[in-house]
Amino acid sequence: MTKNTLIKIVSLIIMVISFIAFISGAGAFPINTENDQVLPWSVWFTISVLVNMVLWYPVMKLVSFSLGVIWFYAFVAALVPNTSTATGDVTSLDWSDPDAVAEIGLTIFNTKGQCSACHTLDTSAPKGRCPDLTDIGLNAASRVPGMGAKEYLIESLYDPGKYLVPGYGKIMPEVWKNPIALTKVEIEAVVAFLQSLGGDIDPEPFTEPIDRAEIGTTAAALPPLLSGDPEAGKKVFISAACISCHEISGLENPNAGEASDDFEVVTAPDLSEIAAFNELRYIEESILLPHAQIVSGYGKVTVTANGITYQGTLVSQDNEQIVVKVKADDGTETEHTILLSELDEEPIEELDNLKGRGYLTLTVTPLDADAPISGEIVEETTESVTLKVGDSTQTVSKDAVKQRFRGIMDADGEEVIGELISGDMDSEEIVIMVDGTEETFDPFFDFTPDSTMFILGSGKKLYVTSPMPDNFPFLLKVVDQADLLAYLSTLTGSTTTEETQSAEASEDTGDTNEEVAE
Amino acid sequence: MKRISLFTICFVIFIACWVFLQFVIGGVISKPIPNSVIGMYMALVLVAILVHVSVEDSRFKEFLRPVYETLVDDRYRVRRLVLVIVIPLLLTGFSYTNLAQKTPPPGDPRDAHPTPPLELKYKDEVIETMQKAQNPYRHYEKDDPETFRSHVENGKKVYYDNCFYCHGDHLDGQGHFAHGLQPLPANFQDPGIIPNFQEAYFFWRISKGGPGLPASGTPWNTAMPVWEDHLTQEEIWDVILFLSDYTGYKYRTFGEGH
Amino acid sequence: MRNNSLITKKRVFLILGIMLLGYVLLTVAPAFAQDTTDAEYRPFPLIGSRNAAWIAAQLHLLFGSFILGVPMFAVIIEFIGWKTKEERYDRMAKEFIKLCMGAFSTTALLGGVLVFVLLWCYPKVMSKLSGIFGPTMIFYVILFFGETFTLYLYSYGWDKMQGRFKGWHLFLGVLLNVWGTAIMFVSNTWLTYQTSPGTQLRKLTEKTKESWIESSIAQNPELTRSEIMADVTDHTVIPLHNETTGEFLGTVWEAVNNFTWMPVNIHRLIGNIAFGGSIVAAYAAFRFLVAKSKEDKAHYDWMGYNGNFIALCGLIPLPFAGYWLGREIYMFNNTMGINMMGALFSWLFILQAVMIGVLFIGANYYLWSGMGRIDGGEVYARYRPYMIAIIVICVGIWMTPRTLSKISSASELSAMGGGNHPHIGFFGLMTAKNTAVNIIILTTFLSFLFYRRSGKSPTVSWKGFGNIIISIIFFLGVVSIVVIGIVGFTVDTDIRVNVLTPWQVVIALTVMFAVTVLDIFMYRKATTAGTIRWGQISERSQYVLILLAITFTSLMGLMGYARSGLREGWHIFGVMKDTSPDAFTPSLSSAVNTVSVIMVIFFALVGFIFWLGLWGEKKKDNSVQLEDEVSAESDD
Repeated sequence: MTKNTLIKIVSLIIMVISFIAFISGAGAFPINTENDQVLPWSVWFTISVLVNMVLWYPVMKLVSFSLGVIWFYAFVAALVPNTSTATGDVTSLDWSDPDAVAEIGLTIFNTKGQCSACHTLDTSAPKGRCPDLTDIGLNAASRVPGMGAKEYLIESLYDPGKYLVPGYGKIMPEVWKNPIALTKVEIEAVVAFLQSLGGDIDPEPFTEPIDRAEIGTTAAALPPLLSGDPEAGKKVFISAACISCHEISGLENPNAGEASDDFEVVTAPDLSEIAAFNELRYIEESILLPHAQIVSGYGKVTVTANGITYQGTLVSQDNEQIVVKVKADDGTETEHTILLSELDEEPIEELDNLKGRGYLTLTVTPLDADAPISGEIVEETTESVTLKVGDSTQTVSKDAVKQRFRGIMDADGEEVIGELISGDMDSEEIVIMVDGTEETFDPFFDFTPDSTMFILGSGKKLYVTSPMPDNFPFLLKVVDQADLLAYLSTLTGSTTTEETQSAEASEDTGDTNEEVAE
Repeated sequence: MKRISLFTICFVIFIACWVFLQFVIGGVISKPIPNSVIGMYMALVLVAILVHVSVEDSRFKEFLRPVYETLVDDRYRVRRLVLVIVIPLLLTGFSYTNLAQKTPPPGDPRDAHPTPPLELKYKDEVIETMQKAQNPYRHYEKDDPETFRSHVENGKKVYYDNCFYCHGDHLDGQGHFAHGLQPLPANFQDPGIIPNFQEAYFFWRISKGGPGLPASGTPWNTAMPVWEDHLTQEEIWDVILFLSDYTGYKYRTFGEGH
Repeated sequence: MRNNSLITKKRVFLILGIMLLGYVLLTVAPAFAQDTTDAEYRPFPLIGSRNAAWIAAQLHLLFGSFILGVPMFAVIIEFIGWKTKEERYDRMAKEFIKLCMGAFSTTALLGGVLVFVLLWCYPKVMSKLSGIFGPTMIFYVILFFGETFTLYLYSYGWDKMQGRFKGWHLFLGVLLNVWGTAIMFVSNTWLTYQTSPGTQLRKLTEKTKESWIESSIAQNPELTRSEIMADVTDHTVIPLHNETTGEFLGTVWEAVNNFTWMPVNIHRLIGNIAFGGSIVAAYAAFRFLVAKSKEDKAHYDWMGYNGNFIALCGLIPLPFAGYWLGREIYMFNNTMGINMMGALFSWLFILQAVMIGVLFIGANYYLWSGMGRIDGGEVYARYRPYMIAIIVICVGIWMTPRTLSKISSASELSAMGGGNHPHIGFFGLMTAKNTAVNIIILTTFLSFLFYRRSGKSPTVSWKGFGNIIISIIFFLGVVSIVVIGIVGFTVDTDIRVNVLTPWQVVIALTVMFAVTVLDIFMYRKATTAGTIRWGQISERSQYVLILLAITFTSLMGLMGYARSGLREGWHIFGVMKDTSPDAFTPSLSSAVNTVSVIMVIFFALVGFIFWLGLWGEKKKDNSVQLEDEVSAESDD
């Protein structure tokens, strides 16, 4: 046999073998790695086809060529993303062969469990999004004092946030919930697989530390992962004039002492350690909805008591009294202590969302009563409001209250006020009960414009708002806002490096299970 | 002056195409194109060049001449030696980088537009089959424009109360939260979104949100809330009306078939 | 002589026997299935039920296409030979009918295997289908007998019917194709019903009323007849299936005439022409490559050209037929449509684009190569680089996926600003792809026009003017297709699908038709400067012919997976659930792997049949006196 013939035959054999190996999805040769199965066998095949095409006579050339074309399409199909609807559900495990169970666990690890998307199994690999799991079977026992390896693994799969490896965020989903939704049997297999990595498989069955029926298997959406640039955020903090009011230690205010026409400079909370005490979620909300939570002592308030209007900063508030700091035009500041009972009752035209609008008490006359009732607002629904009258509570339907009318006579400037009998601003006449007699007015010609008012009740009001501009989200571009958030999330007050700060920040976000886009 | 060989010209064209895709389209004109797509285009360029040079025998010979010469002619011993060393090195490097990359950064393995269920549901109540479900307020567009406007207005209110944080003031998916979301919120200004799906599909996506995505629509880091817990059916249909009214795109509809 | 007629008779009996077996299996199918209704599924050893049915069905289909496509080719060629009075056409047609005979018995055998596998593995499904389609199965058997006898008459009467009876012989050939097409139409009903079982509502007639009332009472025993009747008006529409049991309530015709039946029929019919042509071309290429004499090379070069020409004629309208089929699938159930184009099967269409790109580039390559063997063909070579560029760019547009998120890394995604590229992403939309396909088709047509004109110069006085007109037609056609494509980005999908895209198709077809007519008149009395030097074509072009045949076959296998896989977890979509362990849809890669294995088997079998033909011819050289009879023997 000549050398040429030998090469020809060997190449033919390699072609056939590598074709079969490729089609059957066999691991690579001679290097067999988990991730790269496509490349090596395809290389063997391509080379052998080329050799055959050069060396063989026409018929074999044709066979090689045809096989090459058939293979090419299979190769392209392997390159594009592949989806199968196969569930591959494992319903039972045969514990007599623990290694086989671990093998099933490995399959779940790579497929349905989606674990391999983040966890690596190779210490030399670049650091993944989650800890490397080489020798986890061995190390698991020493992670948490007093906790066995298996116990730790089970805990980590059912409640991934409980024991975090330092330096890693709280990003792992609860694998038993949707969308991954591993069954108990599947988790058993995964645990066996993880134990097999450097440890011994413990086939002892365990009870799940959760109650699937009760908790449900639908996972809540995770909070946003922010990807802003803290350095850029620092610039935004300055350029967006946050710095005019908020202080951050180590950051100089370029406009210190200057007044602005666009906004009022007030004393605002120091943000030097904002991320140390607050979740990112809270910081985000504070920018988007400044009024949602107001730090005590920084709210803006307008109240009237005994006929005097006080407008200023709410310094403190308790059940009895409030302290308002008023800044006079000359810059001097005075603090006024106002008893809540001394607040003036303000007329109310709409009974919707009383609490939200800051009303503390309410005085209304129900349709079936003669005298008005008055009391502290205890509870409010869209239909009714519950008042604390004396020692008892009374619920009033918002639709069933007497309406009063107030207007100032065009002719003499005299105020007319009384119970509304009939009519409204669109009708030709309006009838009001004044001092026991019904009087008829023309709504358009009798009263000065803007003086008419349909009053449903009155109440004492303490409405605290944030001095921050409420259109703040509109002032910032999306990117700027993300940068700003990223910057704020680094403000923990300590001098740790940036990396750990952002890790902490993402841990913080992990604590909330709120949905994102509400 | 020595004539430039056909092989060199082809090589230069090939590189020029790559530079054009990678840097001119991917940098100057537009945003970077993913490597996989560039690879696909470059394979086509290679095919085009090979087709061009190999159709005629004479040109194919001319094309291959430098290759043969390098392989057999002693004048090119140095070049041959360099190639013999460089090509295996390149291959080794390529294989190594391929094998060393244990964890290629996961892109986004989810289906962008997963298959909807056969039945359209609100909470657990079946509204209609996905095929037949219609927006109950759509017909007002012709029958009663005033009522239709009021529904669109309501949709607008719903949108700016709930959706714009992520989907943006201009419905372009650039809402305030968008930057931190993965996957990104849908961009309704994209001509491939509204015109390709019928209103029922949108109802399904809005009402079930991210947690209601089928397995092929996973995994996600963040997702839209299950809006059926917060919005009424009418509000969802209204906001669907608003989306198309604002963007000017019409939803996919299906005429009478067969 | 005596010996050979004996062999012929033996074979006739063998094939009749196989068919009789198939017939028996078909007729006893319901009984066979009903016996074991308690067993829904029975496992197939070793490779599993799904793979067994898959392999048997795909092989049967490929051979079926062969024996439907090649006779179509043969009849066309025979007709050309009859009209042009060139004997070589007639000889070629006959050669292929001989090859068909071997493939015919293989098809019958594989059909029997398929029926057996299905009955064994899926008794319940088969019992349901045979319950609905019983009458069509008998029709099928009758047609099959009709086709067999016609094929034998056509094949063995070839020499005896030369001359005076040639017209009748051609009629037999046409009849053969009518039977073949009818058989395909009948078997298409079963599988299209599985995909789109007509869940649409239908009008209430006296007949349907009864079945509906019965099923309503069965569902809800509290209802009385009169109560149901009270709700019924003349306009009431009722479902085709009992909504709880899935029992089919309609007539056979309603099951047959489902949404995808006609589109699949037309798609397969055109596809068979293309497939038949490309198989012939591949056979010719194979013979060309192994041929030693100049005469042989010339003959097989010529044969390959003709095969490829027929294949191209089929290939050009094929995308339009496919588009119609896709549209009907959307009409039937848009969930299925989205699944096909946007979700589970979306990447399959990228692979399909690769394959169709290969087909068009290959077909053009072959034409350009062929121009090299015509004196005067080099005139058109200067246009070639531009045509290559146009085709490759259009193929590139066609291959570009809409959503790139699955094939991009996280950093690439953020650099792009999402899963859709701001500019390249537009290529992913259907309007761009349709435009690209139409341009590819027109360019391919231009290649063919150049090929036709090579070495000829027109003598008519208006030749300059004619060329200007043709250029204007091309220019206007391309511009309007592109403009419509751009408009397509802005209009409603409904208008795009139902108005714009059909208009693009109409424009492309009109351009081709108008130019062909003009060209025929222009070159009617053309002088021929150079003859075609048959046999002097590069070997590469012959490999391209083989590439085309394999690509056609791959495409059939791939789209078979799509058509069948669209049902997902259903035997009959929406009516009968698949509860077997194979109920899932395999991934594209594993499906293509299965198809690859099937193709290797198919080409091995086809190669064997071809080899037998070659073997027989060698014999013929040795014993000239037995000429035709022995070659008839050789194909078995």
